[in-house]
Amino acid sequence: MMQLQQIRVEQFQCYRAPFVVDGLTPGLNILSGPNEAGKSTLARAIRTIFLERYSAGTLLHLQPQDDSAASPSVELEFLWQGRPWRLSKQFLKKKRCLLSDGHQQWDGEEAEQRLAEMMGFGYSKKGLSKPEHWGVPGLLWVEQGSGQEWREPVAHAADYLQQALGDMVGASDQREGDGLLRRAETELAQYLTARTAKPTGAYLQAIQQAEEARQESEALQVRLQAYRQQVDELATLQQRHRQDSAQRPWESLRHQQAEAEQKLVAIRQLQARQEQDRQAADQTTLNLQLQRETLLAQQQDEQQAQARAQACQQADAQAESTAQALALLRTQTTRAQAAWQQAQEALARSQSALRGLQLRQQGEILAQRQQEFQDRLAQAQRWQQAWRDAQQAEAALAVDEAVWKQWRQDAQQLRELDIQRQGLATRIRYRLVPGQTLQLGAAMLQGEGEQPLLEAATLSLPGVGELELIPGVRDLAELGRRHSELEARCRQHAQALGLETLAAVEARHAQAQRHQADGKHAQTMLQSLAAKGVAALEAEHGALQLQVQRQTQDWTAWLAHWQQLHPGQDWREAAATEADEHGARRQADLCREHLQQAERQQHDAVLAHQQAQQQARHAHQEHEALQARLADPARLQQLRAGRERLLTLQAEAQAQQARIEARQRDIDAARPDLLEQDIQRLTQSARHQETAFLELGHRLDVLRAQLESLGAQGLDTQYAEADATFEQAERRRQQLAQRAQALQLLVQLLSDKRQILIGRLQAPLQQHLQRYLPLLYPQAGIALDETLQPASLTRDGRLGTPLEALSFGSREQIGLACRLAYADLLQQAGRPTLLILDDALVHTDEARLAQMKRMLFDAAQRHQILLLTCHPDKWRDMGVPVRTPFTAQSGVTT
Amino acid sequence: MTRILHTADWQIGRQYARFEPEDAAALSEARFRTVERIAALAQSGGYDAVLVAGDVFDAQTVSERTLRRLFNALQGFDGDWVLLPGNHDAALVESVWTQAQRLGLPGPRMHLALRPEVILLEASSLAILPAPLTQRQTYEDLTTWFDQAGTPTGWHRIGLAHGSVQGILQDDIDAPNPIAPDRAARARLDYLALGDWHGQRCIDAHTWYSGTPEPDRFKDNGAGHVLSVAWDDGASATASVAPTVEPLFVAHHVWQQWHDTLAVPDDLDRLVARLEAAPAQAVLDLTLEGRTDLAGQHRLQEALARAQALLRSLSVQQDGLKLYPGEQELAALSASGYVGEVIAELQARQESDDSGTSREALVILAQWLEEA
Repeated sequence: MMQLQQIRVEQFQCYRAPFVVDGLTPGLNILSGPNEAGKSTLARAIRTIFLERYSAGTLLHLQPQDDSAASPSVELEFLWQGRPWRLSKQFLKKKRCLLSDGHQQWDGEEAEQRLAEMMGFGYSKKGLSKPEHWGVPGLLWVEQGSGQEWREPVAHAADYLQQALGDMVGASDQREGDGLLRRAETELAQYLTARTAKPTGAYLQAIQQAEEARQESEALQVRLQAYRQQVDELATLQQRHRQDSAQRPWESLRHQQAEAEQKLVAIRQLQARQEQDRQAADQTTLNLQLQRETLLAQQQDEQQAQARAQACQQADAQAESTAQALALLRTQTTRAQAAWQQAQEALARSQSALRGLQLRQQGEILAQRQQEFQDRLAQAQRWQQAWRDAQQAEAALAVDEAVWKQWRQDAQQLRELDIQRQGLATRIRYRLVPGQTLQLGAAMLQGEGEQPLLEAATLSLPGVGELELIPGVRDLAELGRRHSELEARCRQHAQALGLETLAAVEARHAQAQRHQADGKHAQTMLQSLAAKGVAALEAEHGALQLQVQRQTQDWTAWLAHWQQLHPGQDWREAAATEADEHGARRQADLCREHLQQAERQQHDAVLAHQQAQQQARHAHQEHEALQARLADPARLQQLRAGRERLLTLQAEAQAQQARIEARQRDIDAARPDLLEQDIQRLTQSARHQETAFLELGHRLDVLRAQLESLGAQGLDTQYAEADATFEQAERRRQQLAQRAQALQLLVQLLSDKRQILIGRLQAPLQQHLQRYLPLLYPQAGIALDETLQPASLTRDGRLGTPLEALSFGSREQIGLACRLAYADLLQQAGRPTLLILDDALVHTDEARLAQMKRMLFDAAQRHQILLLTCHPDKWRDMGVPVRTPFTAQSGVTT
Repeated sequence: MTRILHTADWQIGRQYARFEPEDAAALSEARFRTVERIAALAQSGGYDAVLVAGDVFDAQTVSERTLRRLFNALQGFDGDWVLLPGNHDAALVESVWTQAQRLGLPGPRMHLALRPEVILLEASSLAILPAPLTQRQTYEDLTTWFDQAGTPTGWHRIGLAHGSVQGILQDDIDAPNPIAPDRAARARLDYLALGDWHGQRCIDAHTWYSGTPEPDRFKDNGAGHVLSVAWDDGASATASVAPTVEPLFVAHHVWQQWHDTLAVPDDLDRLVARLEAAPAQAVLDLTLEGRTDLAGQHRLQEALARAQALLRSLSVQQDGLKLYPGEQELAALSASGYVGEVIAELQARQESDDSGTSREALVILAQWLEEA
């Protein structure tokens, strides 16, 4: 472990006076101070003493403000490999650099070189050191607010890291290999395209040239082949031409042709004679035919004469036959005429009888109606009388309704008043000794009974005197008065109506009601019989009477007529038999049809008969004319002569036919058609052969000229040259192909081996990463890229989030974890490690911070870590004191 | 004393596609110069005639220039030339010969043996019996007619043919254009001058293949000569006396084919020495096998480059030569990192890689490393 022990700073920015931090321990050192207290200046001093050349002139910013004479200096004491090292540098005014390890001392640039090798960084050739020179310190010394950045620092430290790794895994530097790989790829790109490995550039050109040369060579070869074939053809044609010149085959054909022509001429002559003979024979045949026809015509005249005689007979017979038929038809017509007349009369009779019957029935109906009408009229008259009687009776019994009604009312009141008086009246019940009488008022009392006392009355007790009895009820007298009034009015009513009692009135009213009902009944009956009144009924009756009279006149007239026509015959019987008018009419129609038919037939027969007579006359005329001709003697003479000529002609025709047949056999045997074909064939063949010969000669000339010209071109030479060109192009193509393949192989092998190496290099770093990462991401790992850069977070072995995509805080945490891993790696490789964290992890939440503290504490077991902070409270649980060396030396930073 | 030169298979117009254009042109050109050399030899040696037994031309349609140059080359000898058509320049109805005749190239003593007819060379009493090929290939023995051919008494009967003597040339058992092996005896020939076999060969005392005067392939079969054929006329002019036949070297280029295996450093030393000793006119085909380290590779390439400049032509097949950098060499290359693994892989691969790709890759890689 490398361990810083003491830092001394003087005339360095805010530290004008010497400022010393000593007592630094291995492991974690926490240096706390507020902002502007000079923490970062201290960190800068450490960077400066390591990374900047002491001789650089551009470090004016290191001087305290307004002190251009200052010579900033930094001194370090540290332990490394068990030896106490001391490093001091002074800049600007007094440039100085010293390094010693207790035994040996280095000075100036030598010291700086030693330092750079030890720590793993480089210097800028001129001026200020830039991040690309910082190497390992650039990675492990985290400036304020840059903990989340690691890509560039790792890249700048890559060479040192790989060297360390290479030492560890026994693999040397990969930079050389990478350079060779790039060179191989660059060179290969001149032959093959990068992505598709298609030939390009000179290689492509060589391929194309080889292909073109091959095609040209092949084309020439084809031409050469054609040339050779033409030479062969020339030889063949020449051979044939020579043969044909010697043999001249068309001449022999011409000779054969001439022979055939001679033969054909002979046959033609024969054919001409044959034709003449044929015409003569045809003439004879024609004459023979004419002669035969003449004779035949003469024979036909005689046959015709017989036929005519026969025709005469037939015509006569026909005329006779038609005459008979006509007579028969005339008889039939007469009969049909008679029958028709009879049927007409029967029809007239039948119609008359029917009329009689109708009239008779009509009369009976009318008589019956007349009777019925009379009855009805009588009834109507009767009911009219009854109606009138009922009306009169009702009128006689009529009662004054108003009086009757008042009377009934008064009587009612009277009854009610009685009941009231009875109820109020004092009752005198008496049981008298039989025979004894008492007089009460006007009434005499005997026996036993009860008497109401309606008014004051005097009871005379014979013997005793009188008792004045006065009813106890005050109104009784009044009631008695009203009673009397009512009785008086009732009497008046009776007088008015002329009837004694009310019951009598009611009886009389009932009687009047009965008459009214009777009247109504009579009226109804009258209405049903004579709706328009009896007078209308009577007028109707009068009309009916007139109708009956007219009908009677008709009937009388018809009867007189009938009796006149059929005297003595009973019309009823006749009518019964004749009345079938329909049948009579049908019979008449039938008879008329028979008659018409008979007349038509008769007419036809007349015509037929006339025609037959005409024909018969004609036949007789013709027969007579023919007979006259047959009897002519000149005709007989002609007939004989004609027969003789016929025989002569027949003999001649036979002779001619024999001659023709014999000659035809000769002609057929010679086959003139084939002879003609032979001539044609031979002519054509000769012509063809001769033409072919001439053409062959021409072809030979052309071919020879062609070959001469081709031969002069030196085709073989051209081909040989083209082939040589092709071979050469092909050799070049093969050379380039070989080179391209070799480069391809190189690229492939270099890439493969490089990949394997990288895998091997990554392994130890991964191992260290796994020490820290699970504290942050329990199930995750970090994928490294080829340059050992952390690239992405992997979870469950799957590639995941690119680290750039994580939050600021997460990146800072991962950045620190990676740096710790790199530090472990360097240490493992035996390199010094020192971690400086200036205000680290300010963006980390509590939970994560706790984990980060565990991480830091763990790392501090192996490395010295300077942690500069302005939040001392945050770091009090790190097991080490939080030192505050800056408080005394408050200054102003630049 | 009658003396003739017997030669054949000039193959004028031949192109050498397998060589670089410059070499190929030189090789083609050399054939004319060899003909000139033959003409000069005939002229200076006082020969009676030069017989060319077929394949004067390599093809039927050579350029007019080529034709003219050949006949010009013949001018150097003013005696009788007898030129026989072979399978490459058969006497077809239309041929290189008709072309030459049309151009009026053959001189009065240049006899084109285009038909199987006796050619009488009055000046030297030579009766030439030619068997020209009138087709490119034939399966009949065209020399049969020699048996019956009459020639003036006392004249030398000399057959001239192009084809394969049956039963003698094992390689060409089924070869077309057959020739009976006893033709010279049967046809009572004093000499039968044969062509078609590019090497020199004696069939019997009267029957010879002269071979091509300018080699055109890597076969060590006596090519590069003409035959000088002589009769001592004083002794006897009978057919039974065999002529004196003497090969004369006329070739310009020596064609050599080397096959070297490099195993130990000595082998390379020997090869370098041999290359340095090779004649300037050599046409060399070198096939290398075995293994070498980087230093050897450098030495070899340098020696080859030198030879390339020196020799007429040098073609090298070194796919079979594997490259194994030595341990010190590897260290010197400082092939660090995975590059060393790649080198090892390539070394291993070249054993099973016939295409030479791995070797080439290794050479490239070594070269880059050395440059670095």
